[in-house]
Amino acid sequence: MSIEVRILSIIIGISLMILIVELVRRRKLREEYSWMWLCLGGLILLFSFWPDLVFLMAKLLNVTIPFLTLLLLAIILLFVLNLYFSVKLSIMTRQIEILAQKLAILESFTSEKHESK
Amino acid sequence: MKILVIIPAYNEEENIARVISQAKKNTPNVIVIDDGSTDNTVKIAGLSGAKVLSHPFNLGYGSTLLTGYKYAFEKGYDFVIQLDADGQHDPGSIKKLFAPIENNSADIAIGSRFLEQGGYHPPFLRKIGISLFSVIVSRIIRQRITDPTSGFQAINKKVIEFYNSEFFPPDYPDADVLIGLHFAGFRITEVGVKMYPKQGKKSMHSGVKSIYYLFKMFFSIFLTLIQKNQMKRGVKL
Repeated sequence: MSIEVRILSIIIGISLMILIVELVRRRKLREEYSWMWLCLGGLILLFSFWPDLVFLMAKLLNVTIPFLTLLLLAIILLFVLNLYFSVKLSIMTRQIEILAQKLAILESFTSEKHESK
Repeated sequence: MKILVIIPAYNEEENIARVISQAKKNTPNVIVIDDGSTDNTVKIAGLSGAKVLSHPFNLGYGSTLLTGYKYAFEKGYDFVIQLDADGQHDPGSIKKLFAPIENNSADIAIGSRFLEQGGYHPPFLRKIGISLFSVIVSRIIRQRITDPTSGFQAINKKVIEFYNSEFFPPDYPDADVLIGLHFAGFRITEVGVKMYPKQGKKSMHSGVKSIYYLFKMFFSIFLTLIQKNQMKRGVKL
């Protein structure tokens, strides 16, 4: 890994960490969703400080171009994150459904009360 | 002087009736905030004479408490006492816990299981967690806090108002809240209370959740520290 790439990835990693902390601080991002992004930032920093890890992984997986292991790792990570968000989104869709139903029933009760008056 | 007892409850059909009837001996206004229980908690709580507010689904311990604080705020209560529905907190200690709030020597009183002689002591790992956060909180706020994770608390109107800002965390409000309160200029005190072992059910801090809990608590304390000055100025976060 060239020194330029390492410096660039260190900058990206640190910027990501600062961005996440700032977003949580401003309440734009909840803590429960922040840990995975902080992990990602940590991982980027880990690989830029110890690029040998990439070569070690390439060796273990028997991949000739070390860069491909990074790409593979990134794709797996993005896949997992996406699946995680799909699950969370499904839970939220269900919750909004329940809320809307409850609200509709509640509204009918209050309008019935008004009519009986 | 309007006092409200808040009991956050999630699937506590076995203990809730006893907790309510004992709490009612101390103050008539008892409200159970049900966090989307799937058992008979709501029914039993209603029959036991408490007002019940029910979340349509599970939102977490912090959100449940916040629903109670919002209710107390809207209804103009002067004081809130919160205790858990699992029978761990002894409602008989309410008077003792409330005393420093009533005579205005503190804004928030925390019920500590460690200041009471011969009380129950939690399991090993939990105890390590409590002492870790006890040391951290005590260091930061420069005041000895023995039981920062205790959910047995009494607060006055100023704290109720403070909680109704954006400040209160939705999942685990513990050590980070105490540090935030300290920076915002509130007076914290600890009172020895009786606590019992948890009845049957698993703790909310178990398995993978306890790892997340540790992460969240450290991260949250870190965030509170970098926002120290904002808290001091009393800016709504």
